[in-house]
Amino acid sequence: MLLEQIAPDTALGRADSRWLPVPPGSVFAELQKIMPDEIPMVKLGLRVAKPLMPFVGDKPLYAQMLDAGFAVMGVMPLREVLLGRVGKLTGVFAPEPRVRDKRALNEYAVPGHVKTVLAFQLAQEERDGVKGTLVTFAVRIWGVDAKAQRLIKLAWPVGNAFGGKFASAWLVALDRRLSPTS
Amino acid sequence: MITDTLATIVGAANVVTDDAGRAFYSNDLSYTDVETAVIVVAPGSPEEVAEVVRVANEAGCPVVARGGGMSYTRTFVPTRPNTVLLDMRRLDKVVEVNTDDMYVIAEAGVTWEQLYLACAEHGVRTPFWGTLSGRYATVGGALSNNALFFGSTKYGSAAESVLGLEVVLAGGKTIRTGSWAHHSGTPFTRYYGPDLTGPFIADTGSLGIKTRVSLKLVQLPNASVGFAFSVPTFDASNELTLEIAKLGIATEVYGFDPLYNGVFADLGFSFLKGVDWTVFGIVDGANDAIADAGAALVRDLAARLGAEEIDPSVPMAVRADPFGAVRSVLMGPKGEVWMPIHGIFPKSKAKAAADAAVAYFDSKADLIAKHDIKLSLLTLASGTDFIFEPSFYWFDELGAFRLEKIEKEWADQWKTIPHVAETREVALGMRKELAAIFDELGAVHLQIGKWYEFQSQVEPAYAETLLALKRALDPDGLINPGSLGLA
Amino acid sequence: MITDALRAAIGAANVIEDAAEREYYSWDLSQEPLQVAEIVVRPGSAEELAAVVRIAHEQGIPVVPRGGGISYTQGFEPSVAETVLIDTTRLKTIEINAEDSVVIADAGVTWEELYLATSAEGVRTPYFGPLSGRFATVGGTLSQNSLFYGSGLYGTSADITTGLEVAGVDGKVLRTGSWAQRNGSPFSRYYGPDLTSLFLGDTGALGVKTRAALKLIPLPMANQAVSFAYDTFEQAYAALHEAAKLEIAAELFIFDPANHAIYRKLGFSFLEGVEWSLHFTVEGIDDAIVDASVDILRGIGTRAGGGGREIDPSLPLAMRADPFGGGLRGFVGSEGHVRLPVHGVFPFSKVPAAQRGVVELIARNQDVIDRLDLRITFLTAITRGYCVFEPVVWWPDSIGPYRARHAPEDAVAKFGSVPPNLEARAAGTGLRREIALLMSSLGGTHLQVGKWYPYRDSLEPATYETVAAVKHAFDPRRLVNPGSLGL
Repeated sequence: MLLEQIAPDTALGRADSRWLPVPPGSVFAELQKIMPDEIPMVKLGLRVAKPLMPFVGDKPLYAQMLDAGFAVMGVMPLREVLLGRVGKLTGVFAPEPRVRDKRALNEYAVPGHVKTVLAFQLAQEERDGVKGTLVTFAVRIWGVDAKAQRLIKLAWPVGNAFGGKFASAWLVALDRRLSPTS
Repeated sequence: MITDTLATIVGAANVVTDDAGRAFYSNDLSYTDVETAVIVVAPGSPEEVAEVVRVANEAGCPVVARGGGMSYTRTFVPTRPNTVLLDMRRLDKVVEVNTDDMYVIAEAGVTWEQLYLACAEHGVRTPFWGTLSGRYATVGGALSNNALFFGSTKYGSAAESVLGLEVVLAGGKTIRTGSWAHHSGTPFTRYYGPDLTGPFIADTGSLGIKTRVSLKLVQLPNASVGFAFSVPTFDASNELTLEIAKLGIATEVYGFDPLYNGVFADLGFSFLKGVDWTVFGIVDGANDAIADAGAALVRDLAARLGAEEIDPSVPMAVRADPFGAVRSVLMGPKGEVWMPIHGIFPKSKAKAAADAAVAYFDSKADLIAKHDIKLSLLTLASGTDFIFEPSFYWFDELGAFRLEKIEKEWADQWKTIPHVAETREVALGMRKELAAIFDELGAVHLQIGKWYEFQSQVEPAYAETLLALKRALDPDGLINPGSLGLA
Repeated sequence: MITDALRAAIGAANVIEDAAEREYYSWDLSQEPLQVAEIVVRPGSAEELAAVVRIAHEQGIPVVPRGGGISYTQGFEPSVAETVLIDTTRLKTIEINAEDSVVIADAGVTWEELYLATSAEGVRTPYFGPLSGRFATVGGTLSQNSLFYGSGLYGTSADITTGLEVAGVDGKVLRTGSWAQRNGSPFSRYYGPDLTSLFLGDTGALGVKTRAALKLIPLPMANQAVSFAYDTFEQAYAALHEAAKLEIAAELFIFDPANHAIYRKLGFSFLEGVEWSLHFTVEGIDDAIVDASVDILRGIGTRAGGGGREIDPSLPLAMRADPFGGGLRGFVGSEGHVRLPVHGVFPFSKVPAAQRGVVELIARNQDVIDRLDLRITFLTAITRGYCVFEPVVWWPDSIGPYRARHAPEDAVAKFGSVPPNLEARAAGTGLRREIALLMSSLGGTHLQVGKWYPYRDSLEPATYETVAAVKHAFDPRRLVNPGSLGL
């Protein structure tokens, strides 16, 4: 897949998956509609600590990722959308994507900065006779140089845990939207 | 009787009535028996073609169209003595090279070389852009037969470059196909309602006589990179050829066997000495970056498959003089007759076809040795399909038609080579047997003509449908009777 | 009587006589219904489909094949009530042969289903579907001809077809191309006369397709998009034309200001202030090749047409991420309008005149358009070698049984009970027909000719007579979709 091709072996990352009982066709469309208040930790964060939150309440999360500096690095129809972003590890408020495509991300070389790629991956999987989709949120992050790489390693335990909760919650929100109501 | 009328239509100078002339035009390269046409006419325009057909058919005479004559399968040979044979080579105008809308209109008698040069002047070419015999082979003839080589790995056969046809039907009615048939239309697409273009392609002239064709244009590449690999076995050569083809980026990919590599080694490509099996090809690109990147992918693939990279000057030389090698597609290096037979296979059948051919030749080893028959195995990828062309070489009387196409010094040397009846019979017999072996494996063929088995090879529903179509377009069976086994 | 035979052949549950259901099946999207079929059948396999065709023919009852229902030109609407309408959507078998680069799909497979099945094996058809591909089926699309995804490189659905299986009037099943060889498989379209092409774009007039063989390519792993903004259509089109001739982009299209208004509401805020936008999607097996192609397109976009302004490429990327979901949006507008395209297929050079002509036509009808709340948007899209210019006429109306069943729930909830607006319908339909005639007069041809576009009038008589002769040969009793193509 595109994520595995772009990220070097030194990248740190995680992947969170959830199987949904629907074919892949509608998954990306719904994913892009999910609002912050469908993710409990984001909703809570917006209530109690709005100034600290990188998100606003009234725009879909996906669009806000793009606002936060992520750009689309590649699309494999109905299989994968790859986003990428560069900048400081702590810089979550970068309004403009510094890199607009895969080539620019690969060529980016500002010392101390990190590269983050996030993939939404779909795989068709049948379970109990239901043709469903395994949805995976996968992220890889690596440093432009050794210094940045060390910073990532330091921050990783916290970032990893937080990221995992966020990804899972996003997947649950997707499930809620797509699974037939019982 | 109709001779006078026909002479009036095409001009007296463009009519052949003497015995030798009629025999010359009635024969192709297949060394088989033919009926001799009652008259040969050379029309100078599509309108003259239509008139000739009308007059001939009205008199109950069948008609047959001949282009460059480069047929090994009796495509244009008459089967009835009262046949009017049309020599289409005077229809030699490139009518329009349209670089806004990317099509070229050519009369049916234009050769591939002529077409290529006319288009290249405008910075374009047709996607399929010719056969190795393209100095003589015409676009009309090539579309009647269907044809392969230049451009084929990327763009398929000649058929896939067609945008429309102008065809004279039995009785002399002219139709155009595709958007060309629209009152205010130009021939930029073949697809408008049911596509009538298709039946007249690869019909070996059975359903009508093509007078003009519209072919697609693409930009001439600004960069071309050759590649060449040596591999240890025939199987390895075929696997490499077809895997490169699957990348979808090479314009031509083809394979030479030890005989062909030997011939080229003797021509001066000394790095081929002792090299058995090779795979050659070209990657074209809109610029160096694209062509280089494509060539790098091909080389990576070849390395993964264990092939050794060699000097790429052979494919580059072929490209430098694409239509100049006529002698080597007509004859062997010592004046032997060259007689091909081919099969088109899906990738999954490539090995079976190769093994079957090799096994067949092994089983005939004594006969082959006794008659000094040589064999070459040429391969090509068309799209992702396997084109396999074993060829026979033997010494035989070359005949005027072959001799007039090669340089005088070679013609003078070789014109005295005699016909040896037994050798020819053995060679032609092996050709037939090998064709049957290929057909068992599900092969399809170009230029089916009156030589490849067809009616016995297709499902009854197809044969019936084709017959119904033939009856609809040619109720009296006066267009090339016998072609495709259609009466 | 016939119902008994049909029930026996395919099961009683698959023979539909309920009036409301038959009405649903007999309406297409055109808001111009013809007759309601007396019987609707839903065979479950290619064999059952062939049986149904045979049974109906034995009884002298016309059949009409229907795929996903995405027809705007009365394609499958019965001309006579005594019709057996065949819904092919239960035919879902897909056989992938990645080694031979061919997939055999039943007629009822949707393009989305086909893409999902093949992409799971790392391959896909080169052209991989229309925007309506969640509903449009392979059989229906091959009858109509269509384009979009991948078309800039690989052409239309017709261009990727290597063989067809067609149920004949006598129950015999015709296979075409190499599929017709008794030991063959459908890897090559060209084996003798190309009969496949007769059934491509026939809008179901010449036979009922049961299965189709389509080419496969490896999934391209590299992909990018690049987009530009221009002030006028002429400027955007100049860049589109230049880029199209290079054949390096998979999709190339222009959106108009009215389309932007719709997309801005969907969140594409960068379209603020953008008049006309031009979009390219580039794909390939390797980043280096894609990067180099994007560089070329970026050069064209910023220079041609007076120079465009590069904008965020998320529109074409969003389409690629959800290729077939957008089609749903097209059924009912946000204010309840039904949406009816009408197009012309043009060579590149004729599009500007067509666009100007349509703009003038709209201006002449502005009063009616304003009064009855009609809207017109434009889509201009490239397929390899030429261009489709597609105005879309919107008008307020009842949404009809097809939209009621398949449009998004919220749209149906809101607009499902809107009564017919016959005045707007007449005006909208009339406008569509005027646009069609205008485009035909300018040399435009059409996809999905059906019973609607001026096919017969547009053609030279000799060609139409030949189409009619083919129809007569294949369907002498006019029992296959009578009225289609005017036959």
